[in-house]
Amino acid sequence: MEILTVKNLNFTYPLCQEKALSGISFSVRRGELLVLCGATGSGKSTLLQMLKPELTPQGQKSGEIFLEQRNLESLTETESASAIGYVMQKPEQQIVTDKVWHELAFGLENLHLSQNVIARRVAEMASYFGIGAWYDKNTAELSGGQKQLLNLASVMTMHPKLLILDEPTAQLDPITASEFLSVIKKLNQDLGLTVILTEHRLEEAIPLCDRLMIMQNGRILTAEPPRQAILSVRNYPDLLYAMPAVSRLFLELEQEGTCPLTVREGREMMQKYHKNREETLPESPCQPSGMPVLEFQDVYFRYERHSPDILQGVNLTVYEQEIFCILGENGSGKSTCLKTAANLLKIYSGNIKIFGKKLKSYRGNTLYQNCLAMLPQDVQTVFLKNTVREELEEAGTELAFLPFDAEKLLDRHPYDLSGGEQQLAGLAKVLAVKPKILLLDEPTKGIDAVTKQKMIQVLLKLKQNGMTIIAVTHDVDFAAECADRCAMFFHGRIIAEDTPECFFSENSFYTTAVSRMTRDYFRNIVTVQDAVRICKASQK
Amino acid sequence: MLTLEELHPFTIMLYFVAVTGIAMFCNYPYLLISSLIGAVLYFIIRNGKKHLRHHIFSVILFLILTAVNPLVSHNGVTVLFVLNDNPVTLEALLYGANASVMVLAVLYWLNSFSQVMTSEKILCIFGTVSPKISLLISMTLRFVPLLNRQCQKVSDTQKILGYYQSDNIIDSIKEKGRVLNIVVTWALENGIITANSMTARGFGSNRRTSFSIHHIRKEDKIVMMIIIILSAVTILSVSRNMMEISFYPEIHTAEHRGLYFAGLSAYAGLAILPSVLQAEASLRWKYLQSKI
Repeated sequence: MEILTVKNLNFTYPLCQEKALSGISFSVRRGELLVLCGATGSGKSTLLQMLKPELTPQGQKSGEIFLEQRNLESLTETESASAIGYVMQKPEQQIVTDKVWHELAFGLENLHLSQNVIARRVAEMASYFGIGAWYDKNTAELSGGQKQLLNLASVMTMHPKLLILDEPTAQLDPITASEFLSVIKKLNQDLGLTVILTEHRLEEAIPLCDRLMIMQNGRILTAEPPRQAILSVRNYPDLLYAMPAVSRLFLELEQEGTCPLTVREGREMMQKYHKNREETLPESPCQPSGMPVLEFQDVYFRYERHSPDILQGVNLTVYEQEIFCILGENGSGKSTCLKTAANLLKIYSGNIKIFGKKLKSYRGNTLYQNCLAMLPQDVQTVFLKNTVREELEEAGTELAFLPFDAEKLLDRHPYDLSGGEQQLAGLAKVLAVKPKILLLDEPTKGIDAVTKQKMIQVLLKLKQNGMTIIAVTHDVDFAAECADRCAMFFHGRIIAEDTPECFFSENSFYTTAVSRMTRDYFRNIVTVQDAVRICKASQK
Repeated sequence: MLTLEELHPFTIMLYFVAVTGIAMFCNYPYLLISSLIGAVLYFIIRNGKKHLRHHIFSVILFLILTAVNPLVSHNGVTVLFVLNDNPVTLEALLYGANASVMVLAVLYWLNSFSQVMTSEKILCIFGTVSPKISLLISMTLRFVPLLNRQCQKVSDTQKILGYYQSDNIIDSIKEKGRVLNIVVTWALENGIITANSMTARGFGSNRRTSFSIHHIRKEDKIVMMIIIILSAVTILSVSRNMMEISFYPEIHTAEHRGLYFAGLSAYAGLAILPSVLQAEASLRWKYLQSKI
């Protein structure tokens, strides 16, 4: 039975010529988990906002939306508040109150329920989501993942019939993100809750979903079970980037058959290509050859005198003209390590040398001029002006020398850009000082697949021009595709470092899907391109 | 029995209003001394050896306040000595001492009050009066630290970008201004998301309830009764002029009768109440432990 029906929905933003949504018709069955995907600006978010009357933007709208056979416009405020749950992208900004328990109760207070009912529902949800341990805490103390879980739980206390999530995991690291998605799946299974979810990171979401709806330019391209949906977009390379690596590999290699979605299915596919002899691609020369530009020698750091060490003897050497990726779990000290290199935090023991010179001997801001620059994790903090143009003019960026085209961004407010565009605009500003070393903190956080590819190209180009790039990242695919060397950060120090091929082949969880798929059949294959090459080679 | 801080915010509020209110409106020395003893005792039981500076400061304050009065006021009949042709009298000295006992007692009570009444308990009290004000306070409590952190982050980033590292004061003021400017934009931008998240969860569609994690328990009722009875007796005694005292020209007190003793001991009981609750709780734990 349908819980949600959308009939011929059109929407145009004020002062816009083009329709943001045109001729959207679809329906969602009760208990279905629908994943909605599409490039940035394809109208996903607009569509989701149309489904929640409180959030529907101003503009010209035609068409009808029914929730359980009732027109959405006829719902009272109370009904729509509780029937449709909505979780947004940014974990921090959705939180309203200062205490976790108050946040859980917030929606119920608005419904004017009695103390007893609120107490029971809050208690129930807190136990279901495992919030009990931090029930009394301040919301500011929570980690990003906990915040997003709290947002979900505080929507769930209102017992929604339909749960809408707009890129809920974009700001989370991959491990937390996959935990969050499994909670969504559990809700869907345990309660038969209908879920509509948009995602950039489809690797994890697609195997969970019942149907995949793909949008482009305000229209629905397809809305089918994922295996069929992926096949039907095989001619849209931009959309394909977002699909699971397994499926991409399948589309590259085979014309017919069922599209695999998980690593397990991918391994079955690999078996066909494996001819009982272990093969590998010729290894690229990867031993660093240049001069060491950044050296950490037994670096120790702690925030306060009596707090534990965050960095516990970091030893690290980064050579000229390489891309060095640091991977590791949350709270392992990766970002702190980057901040000490940028002299934002002062180490208490050990040495950091930049171009062979001790960090301390860089006086004033000589370190930041033509030498080292850092793009912080929260890239919004880079911007101070009202348009990107003013921003770049002030910084003195020469547009012609940028490794990408920033023309489209220039006249917009930095805060209005999408996550990926913000990263690029931030990068443009940072490049103004012509740094020789570029430090990046999570450059791929919250950006879509196409922009990620662009980012990789940009970084490779910068490297060719002689720059050394050190990136802290959670994104294994990103590291596999662009790094010269990868390092694993754990418990305040670097545990292992190697070329991406060797690094990811040794790891069994902290590695790419392709590596997990191919490891018993081929050696040192970590990216889709490599896998395609070797499979084609072994077929001959 | 529970300790005072474990009780319902209303009980805590009632207690502090009663104990400080009476001390502020009655200047009878024995009452004030019992108030000070109760206040100091409770403060020390809660904080132990910490806040040593606070105690030193209090002693100094006491000495200064006591000394100032006889230097300024020369009323009174018992002259202790003559300073610069001005008599320093015993009455004035005692008056000063009495007033400073009151100040110290109230200060100690307020100190404990601010430790015991956390923001969340104040919210609970406001919540019953007006759920909207309580929400407003709660949002502010969340927002101010958030804004601070964002300011810090932006100014860190600007530092790495190589701006404003000069030692020029004007430059650094300019930087502060610009950071503040963008942080306000940021706050408004975030405000929209928060507002959306609020309307999405039905804010403004109904009258609000105010949910609280505090409950009025049996202990609360008992303690509230004790507080009410003790303060009623004290107030009765004070209002019947049982605890009147005049310092000038000679120290003169009203005739001591039954109601006087009742009022004084009632207040002493009130002042000692939180310490008793605290002591009882810790004794009970020791007893339970020794049984185990």
